[in-house]
Amino acid sequence: MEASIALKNVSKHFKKKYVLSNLTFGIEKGSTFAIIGRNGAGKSTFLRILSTLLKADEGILYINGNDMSKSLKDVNKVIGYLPDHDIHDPWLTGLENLKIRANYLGISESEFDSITKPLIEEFEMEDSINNYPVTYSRGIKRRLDIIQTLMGDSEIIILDEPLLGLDYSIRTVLCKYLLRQKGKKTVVIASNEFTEIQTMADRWIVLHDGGIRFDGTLEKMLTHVKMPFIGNLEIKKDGEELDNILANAKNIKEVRDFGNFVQIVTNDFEDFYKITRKIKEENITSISGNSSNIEEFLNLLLSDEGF
Amino acid sequence: MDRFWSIIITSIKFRMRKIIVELLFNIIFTILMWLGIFLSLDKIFPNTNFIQARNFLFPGIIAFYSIMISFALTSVHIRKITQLTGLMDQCRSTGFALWQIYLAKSTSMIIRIMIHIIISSIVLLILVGGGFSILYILLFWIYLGFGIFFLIQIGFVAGIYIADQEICLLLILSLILPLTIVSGSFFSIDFFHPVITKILYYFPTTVIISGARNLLVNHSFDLFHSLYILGLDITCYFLCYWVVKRKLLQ
Repeated sequence: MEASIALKNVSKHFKKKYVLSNLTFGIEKGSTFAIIGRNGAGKSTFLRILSTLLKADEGILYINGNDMSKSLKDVNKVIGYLPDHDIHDPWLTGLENLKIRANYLGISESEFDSITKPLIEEFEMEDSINNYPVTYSRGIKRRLDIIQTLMGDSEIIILDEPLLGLDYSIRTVLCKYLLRQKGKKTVVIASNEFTEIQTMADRWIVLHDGGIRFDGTLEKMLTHVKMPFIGNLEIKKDGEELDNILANAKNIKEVRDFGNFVQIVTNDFEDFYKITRKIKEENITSISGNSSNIEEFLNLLLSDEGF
Repeated sequence: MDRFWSIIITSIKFRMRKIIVELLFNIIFTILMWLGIFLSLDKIFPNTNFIQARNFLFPGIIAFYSIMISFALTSVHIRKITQLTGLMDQCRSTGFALWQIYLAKSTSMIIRIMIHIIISSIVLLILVGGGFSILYILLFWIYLGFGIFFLIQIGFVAGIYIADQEICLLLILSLILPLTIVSGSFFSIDFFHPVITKILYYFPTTVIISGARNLLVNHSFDLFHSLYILGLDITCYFLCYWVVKRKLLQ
């Protein structure tokens, strides 16, 4: 399959510290590519290099076969980049910000409505688009910036923590939008929201210490790393009963005690379920659980040197 | 090319409300300077000839204001778009080359400051009752435009590098402000010791103020001063662009 983005020995350092070291790989056209990693792993630097806002110290970046160190022509038609920070003027209305962006992108006034209106509606910004972003909540600000990024209809969409501050319903809207682009646009997304990445990404990498620690699909990862189940229990009483249950329970990997809130890490859901059956119902305020916690995954991945 | 102009147009068109507020402050500043310097001078030195005072102080006040506002507005604006908000990325992520953004931002700043110079001059001309030739007022504005261009470049670099707003303010109040006063805005540099006068003579701010004053009042075009300013503009433009490029791309 044709590569939309290709990197050859790309490195970046700030002062003497290497943030990215010798990265070589390609991203297929029309695929959704996810990047995960701990804070400071180099995700944002990597995306800024991909979006041509930052120059790699070594190596070559190819976008659609063009060496980006030589050719920047029409890059706006190719790349739409959403940084991890705000990209709007808080003292201009949301609509004015979109008009500015449209001017930069070369979108004419006659095209403006037909391009922005569907996006404003899809991201439920109709009520706030004429207000100033200083009055927006974190999530609404993010929605405005997402619209700004998507309105260019670029071939490659690069999103740095796009889900930051978004509520469940808008997360779903963005996920649906990105799923619709599968096969048409190349999407590169950096996020620590594992559940959403699982839904969307065809392939993903884990960045750690400037290098790629994992590169592949979810299936490939699961064959190497068995994901534990993390059960969350909120209890009413002092926990003496729970302590006894946990002391006698099997297959518990770890217990994290936060007072009335306890996190129990087991091999799978079955083990957690067995524990909850032993606790009196009236003592439980809430139960929740997640089998794919990104921190757990990173812990497993990064502790396994042979992986 | 149309997209390049879009940076300049949007910088002004969508910030009209703010520019109007700026201009209101400009008018207040000009009136206060007229009250504080023109009128009080007559009380302190009753024998001062009004025409001489007007010829000396009119270009001095306008040049003083131009120098102050060009550095202050540029550094604060650039700091805002690069450090406080992601507006530089809003523009950069649409595919503009950095040199285009740098040139467009510099041009929009010079347009913005030229509006200030023109408004301030008109207000002060009304207050002092005119007395200058329109042609030389136009040449005076053009000279000031060239004069402040290099300050805009330095303001650009200051706005990108200085993270702390307080340091930026201190730089304006403790360095640019006294330097502009010492450079002969309101009194002649000839009053100083000859050594200091000699040093001040080659100060860029002195060159702007005295060159603009000579042009407006004596109708004399100082080639040395003009080439000096032009050289400074070109050098600062490329030097500051190199510094900005280093900061933003690396």
